[in-house]
Amino acid sequence: MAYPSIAETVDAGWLPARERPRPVRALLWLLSFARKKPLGFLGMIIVLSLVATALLADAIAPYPPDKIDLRNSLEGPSREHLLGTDRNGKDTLSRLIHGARISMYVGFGAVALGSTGAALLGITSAYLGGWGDKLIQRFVDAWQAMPGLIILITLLGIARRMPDIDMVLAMVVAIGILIIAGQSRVIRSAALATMATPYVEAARALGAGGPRIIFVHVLPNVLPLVLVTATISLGGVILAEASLSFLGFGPDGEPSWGQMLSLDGREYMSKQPGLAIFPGLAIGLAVFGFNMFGDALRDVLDPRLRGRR
Amino acid sequence: MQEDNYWIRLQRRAVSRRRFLQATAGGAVGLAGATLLGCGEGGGGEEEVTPSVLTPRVNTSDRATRGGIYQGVTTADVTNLDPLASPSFTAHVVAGWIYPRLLHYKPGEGDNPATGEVEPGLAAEYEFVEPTRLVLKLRPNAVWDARPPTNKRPITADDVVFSWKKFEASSISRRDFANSANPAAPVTSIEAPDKSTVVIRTKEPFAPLLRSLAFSPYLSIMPQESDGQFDPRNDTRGAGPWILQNYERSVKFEYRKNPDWWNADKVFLDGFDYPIVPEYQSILAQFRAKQVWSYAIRQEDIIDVKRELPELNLFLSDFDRACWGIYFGLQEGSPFRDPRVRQAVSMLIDRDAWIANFYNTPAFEAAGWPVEVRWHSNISSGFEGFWMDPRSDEFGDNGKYFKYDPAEAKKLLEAAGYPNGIQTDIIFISTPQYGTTFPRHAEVFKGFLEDGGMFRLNQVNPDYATEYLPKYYFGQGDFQGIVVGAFTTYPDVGQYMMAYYHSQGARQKTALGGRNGDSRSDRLIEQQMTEVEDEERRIELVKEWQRYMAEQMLIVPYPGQSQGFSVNWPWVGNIGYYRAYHAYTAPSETLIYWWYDQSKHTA
Amino acid sequence: MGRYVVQRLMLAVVTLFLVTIIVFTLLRVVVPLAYADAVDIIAGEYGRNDPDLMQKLREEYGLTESLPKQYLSWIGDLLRGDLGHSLFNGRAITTEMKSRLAVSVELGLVGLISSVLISVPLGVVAAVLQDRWPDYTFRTTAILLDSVPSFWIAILIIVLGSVWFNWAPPLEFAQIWEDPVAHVKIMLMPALIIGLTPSAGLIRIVRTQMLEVLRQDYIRTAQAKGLSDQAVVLRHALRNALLPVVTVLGLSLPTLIAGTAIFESIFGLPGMGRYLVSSVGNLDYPVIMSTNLIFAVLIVMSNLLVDLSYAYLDPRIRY
Repeated sequence: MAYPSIAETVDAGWLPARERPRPVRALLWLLSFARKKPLGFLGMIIVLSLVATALLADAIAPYPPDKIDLRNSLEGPSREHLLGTDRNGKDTLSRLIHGARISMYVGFGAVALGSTGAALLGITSAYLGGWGDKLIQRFVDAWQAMPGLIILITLLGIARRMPDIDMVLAMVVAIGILIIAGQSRVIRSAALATMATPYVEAARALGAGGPRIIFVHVLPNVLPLVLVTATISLGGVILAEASLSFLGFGPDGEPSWGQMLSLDGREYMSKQPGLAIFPGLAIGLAVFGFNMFGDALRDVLDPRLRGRR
Repeated sequence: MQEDNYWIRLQRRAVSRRRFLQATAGGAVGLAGATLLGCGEGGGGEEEVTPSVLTPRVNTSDRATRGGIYQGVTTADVTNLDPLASPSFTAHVVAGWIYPRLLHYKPGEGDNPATGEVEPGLAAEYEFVEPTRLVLKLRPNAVWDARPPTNKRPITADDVVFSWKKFEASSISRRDFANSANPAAPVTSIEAPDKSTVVIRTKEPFAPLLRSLAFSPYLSIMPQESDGQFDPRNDTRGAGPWILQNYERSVKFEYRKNPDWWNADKVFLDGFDYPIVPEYQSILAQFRAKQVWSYAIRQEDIIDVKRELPELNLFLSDFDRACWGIYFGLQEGSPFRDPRVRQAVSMLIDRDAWIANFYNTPAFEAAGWPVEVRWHSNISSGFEGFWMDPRSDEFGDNGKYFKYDPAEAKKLLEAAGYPNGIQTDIIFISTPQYGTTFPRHAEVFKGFLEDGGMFRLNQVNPDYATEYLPKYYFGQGDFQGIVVGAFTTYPDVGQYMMAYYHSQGARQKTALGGRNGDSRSDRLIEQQMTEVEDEERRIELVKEWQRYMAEQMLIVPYPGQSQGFSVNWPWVGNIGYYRAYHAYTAPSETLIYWWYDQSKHTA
Repeated sequence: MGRYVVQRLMLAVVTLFLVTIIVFTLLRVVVPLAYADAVDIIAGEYGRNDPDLMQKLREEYGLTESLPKQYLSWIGDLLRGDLGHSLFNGRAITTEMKSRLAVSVELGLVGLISSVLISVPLGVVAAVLQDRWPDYTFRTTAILLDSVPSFWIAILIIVLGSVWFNWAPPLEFAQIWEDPVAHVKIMLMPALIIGLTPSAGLIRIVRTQMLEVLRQDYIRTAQAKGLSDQAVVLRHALRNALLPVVTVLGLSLPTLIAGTAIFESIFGLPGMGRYLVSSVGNLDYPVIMSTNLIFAVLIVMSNLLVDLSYAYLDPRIRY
């Protein structure tokens, strides 16, 4: 399957010529991206830093995230603890760094699951047409009629009671399912448009089978759109993860930003304001980064979608 | 009555012991503790060491006026109001306001805390006609709620028998108390020979019987109408000093004075309002704004609040009789079947650091408000007279198992055949059933055990109702790993030992399936339980058990406690003077004496 | 128009029917198979070992019937307005729901109004003063509102309000018909905060729409006729720019309504969201099903309203 690379898709006018060697092209692309979309570039830097933080958490965090130090509990920022400590003397900075893991894991995991599912569902629905399409669309309607957070609370509240369940994975699956319904709409209309193009009709006339049409003709055409909708939804997913962790549906024993905010942040904020301020800022920064990057990527990849989010 | 004298004598003993400690400048307790021992509790001629910040405990009943609605607040809602059938203890808190009990705890007064001595409740008189048979006479003037369907019907012995049958069938405490539910439990029958007489039989003499009858989680008396004529899960028809006039789920409880209560003329306040507010910070703000008259302000905030609002009353709280614990999976092949491993766990716990962290003691010391710190033995340090300080000479050599000594713990593990340490699960609930601080306790224990590298622990947080309770809490050791959990606060020390340590106990965590009991521990627990006649002997037995259990360490008790402080606005009269034995039963024992001193209510 | 209304109504009914199927399948089929049914939960730790009791309870709760029959009897009850009873305290859910629905809907509506009040002025000013400092400020505000979790703002307000200004939401919830002043005091802050997040998108939409409209010929004509800038903006441009805003408002309703769950928990309001959160903790199936369903009804109804009002406002739309 010939997936067009980002550079190829974007190569619509303002990108440097194709003949230049790849690394140079990439660098030039980045430079022009930074020039044209400074906020998006900032977002990209934030996203990359967060991903790096999550991957290298063990190496960068000054302390293990669950290292207890009773003699230094509820401390303010100091040289030893740059962002202070919580009720049991755990280092806030280290916990924030490790908390990036869950945010990134859930963010990328749920979006990967959701967007793949949405692409499959949307294209299938478009391909089936007629009654099949109608039925699928009515179910999508119904699924969307239930507010997202309410479904998530229901699903994760139940999951939380089951023994031996991995709550991070449960969050990925639950949020992923939600994304499927929402995004499949957009994909479906794009797929419908593609199917109406003469070359797909020609392929059909030549006797190409369903899977062939879907994978060879439709999918490559809607793929940039899938990528864009996926990126745009990342910020919202991270916010959803934080809300759910805040409500107590997150994993135990691993630091997450929402949980830091709802436990020590909420309870000991009057003693040590940093406990609530820093996790909130971390969430805000992550969502900001993903939103800005997503918006810029959308503008660059698919200007038709402008103003969608 | 002989039992009464027993408790009075016990209390005197406790007091004289305190005086002794003070005279010797603290003994093993330490100077700071000794200073405070003089305050508030010893009585008589010791005021000079009372820190001046504390409010004197004064009886103001002689100038009390009637009326006023106390403004309180609570964080907890109840799911089910039926004290004899609810699976949750929250129902017993509400029951303490509404449903009568045969006996009440006598409140402590002034500088003397409550001792667990009982006084008449629904039963006006009571007598042991033989050591295993208690006869109680109900009050002739006790009537049920005036609202239908009870319509002020007189309370009869049949209501007591009805409640007993329901207790036997469905109470979560039945295995502690009803012999039909657990052969090791004491009460074999409760009968009503006539309308006003109740006869209670126990299988053996049972020292804590009277205290148990005053305990709301056991035998709260409900009207027979609760079986079909109203839904006791959602509605109440009681006969206590208060009526639950209005209850809106997740909004508020409104208790109002019950004019038909048998002692209604003693009650000063018209009622108590408890809005349900989940957010502690909102409560704190409203307390400071005088909208809430008293609240259990966190110890971390007490000093700031009192400094900001010096007009607040400040009292030193009583020692708590609760003692939570760390218990073990005891299946075949478990490392925790070896006492040396359990001793090692105990010796990896830095008790002073733990207490300092969770009771805020260093800040109180620094502020010049010293508090006494006590280590628990295998019973709570709040059981005055029975508890023995593990650091005292009296405790003997086995006190060493409570000392923080990682080097010795390592040696013990090596000797037990674990030179490379132990890898296992650490299990605790992370939902707020045990309060929001509990997961932090557990986290610190985990940190202590992992610190020296001797334990590598995998954290498991089971669901409370469907997994934690059946598999771990009631699992009798039939699981793998180390559990940190909350234990019930019993009114009597023997019941605590029986429930948690005896091989037939209702919540035992020491004898896998009841089969692998420790026979010496079992025997001592049984002996002290039946020791009704001679309290000195009972205390000796409990102490012998503590020395023995320190070495066995079947459960590693929580580190200990310090007294805390409580604050309230000065217009709540008598709030510091009357001291409850148990928070659940306070509404009918101490809250009835509170009064609203409007003259002190400043805007 | 009439045909359009009927068509939309039927679509709404179909959607709700499918919602009941999803809710039923999830909570009465999937979860019981994967974990535990209502009777497992009620019987609890003691009942598990008593198969006779379990069987008796299953019959009593109608769980031994075939699934289609169970579904039909549930739907039958729903149509009669009976949402069933809580497994934990036996209360009728319909009674409980009435006051809670009022709280949640009010929160959502006031939140909606507050987001309009925040976003329309900011969006208009940003458009009129395009590329000047208010424009940048308000666009940045929109970006920040989009990124910052509003429950975080709620926490900061509660804690800092109490520490710095000794302000806190009143303790005791009162319904509007009981004590209007206390009611407004306790509801206002959470409703305002709920409105913050949707404002972000609205500010952007209002600004874009205004910019587009301001470039139209009739606006230039109006200006040429000598009308003041204010009159042009308010009388001509805004009215036309607001049309798409209605759609966006409608689209942000689910977020608003779902958001009540988190804010009711923080501010201790007795609404549906908090009811769901506490019932999920107890696995109180009938309550979980009812709250999900009612939230869905709210969304479907508001979507319907948006569709209809849009068709009414924009004469170009005729289906």
